[in-house]
Amino acid sequence: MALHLSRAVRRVAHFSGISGSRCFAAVASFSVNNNLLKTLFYNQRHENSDTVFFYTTKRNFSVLTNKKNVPRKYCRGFSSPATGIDTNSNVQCVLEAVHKILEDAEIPEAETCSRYLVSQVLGSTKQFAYKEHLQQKLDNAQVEELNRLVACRLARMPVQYLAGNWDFREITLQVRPPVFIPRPETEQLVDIVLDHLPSKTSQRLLEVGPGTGNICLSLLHENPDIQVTALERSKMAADLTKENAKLLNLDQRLEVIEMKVEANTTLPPNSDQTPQPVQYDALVSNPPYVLRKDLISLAPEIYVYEDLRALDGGAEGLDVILNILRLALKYVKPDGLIFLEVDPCHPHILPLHLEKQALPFKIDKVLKDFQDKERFLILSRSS
Amino acid sequence: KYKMLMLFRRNISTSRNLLKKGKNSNIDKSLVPVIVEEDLEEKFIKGWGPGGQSVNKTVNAVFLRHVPTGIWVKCHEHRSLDQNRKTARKLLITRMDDELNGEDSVSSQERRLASGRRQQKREKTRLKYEKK
Repeated sequence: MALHLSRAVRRVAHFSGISGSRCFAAVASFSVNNNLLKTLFYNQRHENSDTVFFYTTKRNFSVLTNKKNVPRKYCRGFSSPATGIDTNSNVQCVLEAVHKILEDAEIPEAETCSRYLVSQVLGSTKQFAYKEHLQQKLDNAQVEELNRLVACRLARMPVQYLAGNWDFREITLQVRPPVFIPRPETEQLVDIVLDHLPSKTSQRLLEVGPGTGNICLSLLHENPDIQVTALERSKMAADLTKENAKLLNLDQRLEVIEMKVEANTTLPPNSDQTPQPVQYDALVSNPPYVLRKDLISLAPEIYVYEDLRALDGGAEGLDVILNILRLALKYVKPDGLIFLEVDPCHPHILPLHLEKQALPFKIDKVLKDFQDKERFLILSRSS
Repeated sequence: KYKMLMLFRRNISTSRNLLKKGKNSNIDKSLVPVIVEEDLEEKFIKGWGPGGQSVNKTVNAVFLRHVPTGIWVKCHEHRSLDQNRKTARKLLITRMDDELNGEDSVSSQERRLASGRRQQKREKTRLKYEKK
């Protein structure tokens, strides 16, 4: 099977000012398991041919195929499509042009996306901001920026990464690839945690996998009595969480530790070398919970640009969750609660695994998300 | 339903918010309708697929309907779904206030006050120039 490399995404990386190798850390991390790679990219095969066409960087291509110095013949040129947008058309026409380009390329949510991109070059994060400028004409800088954004979107870069920031409940977070973009379901998880914490008493929370920091920073923002320690395995995500904390002035009550949570993980010792005691009142996490078989059907926005390590939960989507519970056994108080966002199948399959692995936890509550799917679990220690 | 209760256990009901805010104490807010979560029907964009981590959508419009009166609103002005839900409730109360209270609605009173103030201002300016 010959793999053709498209320079599209390298171009995108250059356009977005992100180093190409950082964009695709997720793809490279799966190179050790080639079967997974083949299934992930299976549906990118061209009709009637054995070639697989997918986006990656030159560096990752050599990692994936063990080729040093990728020869030029494998790189296909990609030029930005002529958008026909110039300084002569007003915002109304520009919007329609962008919408048509995205629709013709079968980009999902073309209408909403075109509104966001046009409003973005006009300087606003609000989707409908363009309405106040309908007869205005764009200047050269704005046209250039819009063409860049459209080219990136045609390469399936998520709208949130194009904007560089996104709102989560009452706060705005900086977002950039490959750090996992907060999903709307997770906004409800924050409500659940806040509702179950006693009010007006200081609480210490442990979070696993903050990503952009959406959960911990929302909790800190909406409850002044909380302190959070967040454990993040990805340096890029840990840095982003710290950056967001600083921007939101919440870094005083947040500690971010770069570490991976595995079966026998221990927290780093205190500064005086004494081991960390059991001290956390609760644990919250939106851990990777996607089942391995569902990873295949993800949209390109996700499997190319986001870090798949933030999604892959193993065969049954429970690998990380079980490790988190082992960690909770060591560091969360016996009467503390564990709040998790999970896959809808987990409320049904988790109890069996808890029994098999002899983990003394029980599910107290199963709560549904706004799509009526069983999305949230509250667990506590069973005696 | 869980999702509706969760939004308001910690927050004051938005009706009471409307009653508390207001620059002008001359506005009578006693007729502003109070909504009860049980009477509300909330709908979101269809076609979310498996949802959760597997999906990345930016369309998060909220359709909120008050079942007894049939009055409904749509809100998709925010990038956060949670904010859209909260704003939808505020919009619904305002819409219900306008439709059910007509002349006595908060927005009608505000318009009357504003036009009253504008008239007062015009009078003042007129008198000022007459004196000269």
